Amino acid sequence: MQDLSTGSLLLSLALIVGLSVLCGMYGLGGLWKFLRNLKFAVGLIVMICLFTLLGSVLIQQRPPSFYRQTYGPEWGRLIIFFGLDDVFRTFWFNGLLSVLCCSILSCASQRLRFTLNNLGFLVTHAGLLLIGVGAFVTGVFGLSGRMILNEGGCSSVFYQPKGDRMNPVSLPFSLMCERFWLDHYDSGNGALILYGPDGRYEQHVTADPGTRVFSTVYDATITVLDVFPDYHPDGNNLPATHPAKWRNPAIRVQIERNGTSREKVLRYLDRNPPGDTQARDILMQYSREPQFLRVKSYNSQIYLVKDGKVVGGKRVIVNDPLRYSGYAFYQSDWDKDRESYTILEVKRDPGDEIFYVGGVLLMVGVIWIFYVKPFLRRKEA
Amino acid sequence: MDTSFYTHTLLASIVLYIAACVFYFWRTIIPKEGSKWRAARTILTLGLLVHTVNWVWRWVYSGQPPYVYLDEMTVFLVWCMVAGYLFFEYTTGYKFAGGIVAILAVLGNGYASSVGTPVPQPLIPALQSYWLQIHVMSYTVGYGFALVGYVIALLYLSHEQGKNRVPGRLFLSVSIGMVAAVSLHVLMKSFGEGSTKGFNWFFAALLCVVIYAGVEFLFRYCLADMIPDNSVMYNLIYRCVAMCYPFLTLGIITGAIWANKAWGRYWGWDPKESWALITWLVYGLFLHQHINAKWRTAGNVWVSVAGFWALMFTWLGVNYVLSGLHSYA
Repeated sequence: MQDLSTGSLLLSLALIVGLSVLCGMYGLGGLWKFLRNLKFAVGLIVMICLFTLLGSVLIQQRPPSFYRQTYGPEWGRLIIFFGLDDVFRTFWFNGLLSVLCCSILSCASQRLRFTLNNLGFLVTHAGLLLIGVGAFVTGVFGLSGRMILNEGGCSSVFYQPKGDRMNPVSLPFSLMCERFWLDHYDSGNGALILYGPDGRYEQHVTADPGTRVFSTVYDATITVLDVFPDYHPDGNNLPATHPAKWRNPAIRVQIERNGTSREKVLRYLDRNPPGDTQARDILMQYSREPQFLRVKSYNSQIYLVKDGKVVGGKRVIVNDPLRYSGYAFYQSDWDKDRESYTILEVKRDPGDEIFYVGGVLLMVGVIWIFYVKPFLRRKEA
Repeated sequence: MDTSFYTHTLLASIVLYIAACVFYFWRTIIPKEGSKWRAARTILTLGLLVHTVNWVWRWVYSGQPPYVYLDEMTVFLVWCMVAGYLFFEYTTGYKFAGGIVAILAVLGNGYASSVGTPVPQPLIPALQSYWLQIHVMSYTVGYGFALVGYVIALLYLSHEQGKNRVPGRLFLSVSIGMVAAVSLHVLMKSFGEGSTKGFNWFFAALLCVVIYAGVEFLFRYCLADMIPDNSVMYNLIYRCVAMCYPFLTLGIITGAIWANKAWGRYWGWDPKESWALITWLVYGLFLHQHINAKWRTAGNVWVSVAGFWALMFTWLGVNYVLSGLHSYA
């Protein structure tokens, strides 16, 4: 959790004082009963919704100067004062979630009857509690950080963010990156690249027939009409679906601007020179270079090294992490300039299994309440 | 088979939905029990069949699930909404929402046919997972039921004789007006950039006013006798939310499992995740308030309306207004 700001501390204290007052009014047993009050639960859910909304609308985890500049000095000060710059890690927000868990537990304990009718309720609320427990275990015992591996390099250290600093954490084994590479969709017709009037890259789209792109810089819409693998200026052209060789690729585009429409043929790597203001044209280029093709996968060939021996290895891609000895390594980022290193997200999370069990219980419980129970009732009737 | 099959079947479904819409409103304006109702339902069912063929064809042709990009999601959402509505009409026999559902179907598919391309872009690495299919499909099916529930909720509020009537009709008009304005804007844009020059907020507001007048007319002269009493309407809304909620739960849990597999954490308070939680909590609030019989009132119907707006913001608003890890969606 973040370091408590004064306002955040005040809100946390308000939460604790509120609970203590309730405890004083009703006693511990009374407070336990109060927690299962439907009106209280409704109020709690509304508060959590509002703070979640606030946390999603306000940009989170930025330096204080950012908030003063973006929202003005007064609002910026308030945001920082109440810890709204990092809502989801404040003590009071997590306190509210904990009170919700207590409310669920109190509710479930009241209706602890193992009947078919009550099964959905019990399973759903048990699932919610387990998800809460899983999140707590992750928060307290979990480890996560980033590891940078150069191609051909080996490391056993990853860096865990702690406030503004990155703390080095050692692994009981090492990881070696043999190679990092990108795979592209090779079928591509190439890309249409748009540049600003100053020649600076603006955006690019796949050059498939029918693709439309709107340029805010030029206030124009460009539509790819045709792709010619082997373009002949005399007009004797075959469409891209024809199995022709890519000898002289070109595309025909339609440019709509200021209420007028015109067509233009762009040959491979043809590009208007930057600053060609006389032509009053849109700077664009047709390219089939790999960097403009759509990426299919980011690949890191990783080997695990322990006591000088290779004990395992895997091609790590997005959605398919490498797991070893309680740790998991995810493809996270890479050197965008030279593709010379890869960045892996490192994680050890003992809360995973608890969360999964909770999630499955929640799904089963909700399906039971809203689908199975009404069906059983209809059958009984 | 070429890509024109996709375009033609999508257009055919739009034409059938327009025909269904005409028949539904015809019977709404001249309410008589008889063959026109059956015709409306049959045409809507036929539209759904053509729509299904279009959707399946796109999946087979592109080799990837057709609910990744916005136009594909819209087509699938319309499919779920029409299927959900027909399920309700066949099981309950109530037809009063058919015309509005058909209008939304026409506008949704019209929008998709204007902006979509017959062949979608291939999937980016983050989306290459079987979890995509379970996660997005469960959410969209849930959205479909929620949409039907929203239409019924607005008809409930618009039909009420108390203080909810005017805001209810206003919400109904603005909802249809917004979808109509977006679809119209996209359609005009497809004729060239210059053709949208006269299109602005004033035009969109004017559209909403015209629709409001249409809604007033419908309620004053046609719909009033057709809409069942409040308790029946409330139960229909509850059934829609109850059908939708398990799918939202499935979507949120499968999304968390997928996030854990792709990014190494199951929850990161990303704006999309936060809003998915808000939606789930608001609908949860509706269902919890339903437990108390005294709270089964227009107030709780407004909660379901708020749930739907939260849902729409999760789906569209987050992508355009807030930035996060789900920007590709």
